[in-house]
Amino acid sequence: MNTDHRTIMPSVAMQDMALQRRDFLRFGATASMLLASASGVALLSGCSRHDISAQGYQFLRSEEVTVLSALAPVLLKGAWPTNNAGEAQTTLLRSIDGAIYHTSPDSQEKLHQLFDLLTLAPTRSLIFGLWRDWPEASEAQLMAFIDSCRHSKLEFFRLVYMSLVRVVEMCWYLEPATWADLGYIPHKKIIDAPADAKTSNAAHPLASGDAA
Amino acid sequence: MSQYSSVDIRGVHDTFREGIARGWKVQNASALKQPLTLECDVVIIGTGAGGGTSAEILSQAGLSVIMIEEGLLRSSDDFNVDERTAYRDLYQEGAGRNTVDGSIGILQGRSVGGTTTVNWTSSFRTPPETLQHWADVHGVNGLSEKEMAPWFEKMEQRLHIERWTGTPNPNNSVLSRGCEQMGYSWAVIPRNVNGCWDLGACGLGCPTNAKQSMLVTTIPSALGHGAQLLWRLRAQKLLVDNKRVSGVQCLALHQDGIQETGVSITVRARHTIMACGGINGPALMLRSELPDPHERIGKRTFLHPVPSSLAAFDEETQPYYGAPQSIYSDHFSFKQGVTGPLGYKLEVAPMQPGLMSALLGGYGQQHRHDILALSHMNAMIALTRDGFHEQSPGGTISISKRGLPVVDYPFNDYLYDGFRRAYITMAEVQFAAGAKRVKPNHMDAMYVTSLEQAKQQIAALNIVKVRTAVACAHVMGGCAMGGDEKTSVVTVDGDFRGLDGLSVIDGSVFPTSIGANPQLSIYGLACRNASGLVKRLGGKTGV
Repeated sequence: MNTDHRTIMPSVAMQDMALQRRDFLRFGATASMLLASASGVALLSGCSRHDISAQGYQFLRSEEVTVLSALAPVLLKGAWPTNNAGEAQTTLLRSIDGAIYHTSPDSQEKLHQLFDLLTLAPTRSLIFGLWRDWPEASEAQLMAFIDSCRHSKLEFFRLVYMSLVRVVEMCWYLEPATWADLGYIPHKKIIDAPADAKTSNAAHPLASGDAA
Repeated sequence: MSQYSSVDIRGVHDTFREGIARGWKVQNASALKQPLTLECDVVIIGTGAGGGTSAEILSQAGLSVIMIEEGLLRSSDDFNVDERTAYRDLYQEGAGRNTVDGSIGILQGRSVGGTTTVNWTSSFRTPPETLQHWADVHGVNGLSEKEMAPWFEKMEQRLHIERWTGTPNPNNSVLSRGCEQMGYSWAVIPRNVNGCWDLGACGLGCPTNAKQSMLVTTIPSALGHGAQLLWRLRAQKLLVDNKRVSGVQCLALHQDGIQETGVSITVRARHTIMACGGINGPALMLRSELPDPHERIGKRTFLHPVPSSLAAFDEETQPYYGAPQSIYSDHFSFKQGVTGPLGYKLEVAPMQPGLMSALLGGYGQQHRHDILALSHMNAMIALTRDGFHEQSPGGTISISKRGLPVVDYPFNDYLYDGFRRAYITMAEVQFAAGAKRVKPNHMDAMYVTSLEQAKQQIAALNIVKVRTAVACAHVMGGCAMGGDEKTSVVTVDGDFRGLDGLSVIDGSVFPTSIGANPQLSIYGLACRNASGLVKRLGGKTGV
């Protein structure tokens, strides 16, 4: 049991949130040093699992799945299902995977590096103040982490906040299942059966003259 | 009370697919297995507002044209009003393009038709004040209001640009109603639509072909005149022989648009037109290591940085239905002078849930509470007119180790002051229109229920990047035109300085932001410069 003073106990959550915020600021200078070395740490310790995605994903590795699985219920509190959240989680992760994969190779690399920092124990705890690993972090600890990033005076942490929050929320509300509560029904495009097979709505042909 | 409901869209012919079936020369480069070398009179890189306009004019004049597009070919059968596929398939970086510090989200198109395939149809001539400023300060001669008028007229005819005669949707009526109450001038937006169904799906690809984008106008026309189109093909490097651009070396992309297939395609041409737009254009020039003695390439990139204000009403507004933009206010655009404090144009933004959820800010219960009010909301935006004041020099494009663009757009007090004034104006208009609660789109802001409270909150806000949500839907500059070789990359006619055989015909040539949605500015200038190029290349004129 980690009895370090930076561990957040639910009963003194507010006090410790303030404490954690001060830690972030104190670690500001150290953070940039650690950030520079963290990628080095990753490579040296053989943790460069960068290119190996988790099963069935184009971008997400176990690091991303770990962090996003822990954060999603907190970021989407109020929207997250109280029962049978497994399916919602699978759908969300698949959606996030596609969304990030289709940004650019540069963005993919930056995000992989970010998630490396978020999951490597030294940086996860020293920089982000998460002393328990992601699956064990309590809701209060996760909220404290998110709020510290959001309110940080350091650009880097605000960027972490924006990256995580934006992708989770956007991918959630891109799913049709989430629209009923909003009163949103999109217009429906209906392609009627074509008279002429050549102009069917199959995927655009590979080259002119190819059959659709 | 909002009267809209969801519509079943049927009976729309996919005219692009029909054209391909008739024999248009259209090639998906991701399917190519072998390297290829092609030759033509003119190669056009990019099929957006500048590329499409140029392609039609040049191929009508009998010149052989090859169009290169890194985006996907998607046409009306594919446009099924689905945000997920639209953002992934039709936008730069899957709609995830950002400035390097994450402070500005940039919506820019990436598709056959470029940003015109996904824009919201608003069509404004370049403001006379902007044209005058370019002449006074940037040595831009020949583009006065009077000289540009026939080019704008021609493109307005070509693209069916007319003031919208439909009823503005409730989201837009907030702007007209509120401005009317406040005594702020406002007017109806001209739109490039023909037979619009008033659906509001413009940003996801027009499902009815009513929007007169390049996809359904100039590109079909060019293809009908024998032009060739290769898509999923990225221009990697311009080819330069002996101080002359002789074409472009391209790399085929996988269908996913992320990986390269390893297949290289070379296009040799008498003349090369870059129509890649801001950001991608300067990046191509930097990859190609073009001569840049005064280090102007990529500089002065403008984004119309957009602060926004959210409001909720008792009555339903359904801001995801109906033509997205039909009302605007120029009351504050040039109010304090052309080169005074930051001016802004007021409009509204459509609010489909995916886009809105990212814009709303916050998380957890607060975000949930906010988004549940979607059907009663209004999103007002202020297009700030960057680039006119010396404290607004815009951003800079550089390239990453992979050669991909990096956008750095610095903020300062000049911009923050403008955002603060824009927040106040938007709150005024929203409350005047009957809003029950309003909040500026800022991390630290809360909904307030009176204008007095709004003004107090705004005055106290720490307006600083990332804390204040800033969006961008218009990318301009980075390859400025002008009269002085020390401060411009191209001439007013679009000729690249320092090398023959290269023109830039797109929005990257603007020396400042436009101060209005830019598509018609690009169409007008493209029409002028492509027509001029026809003469110099010996094409048939007077078509």
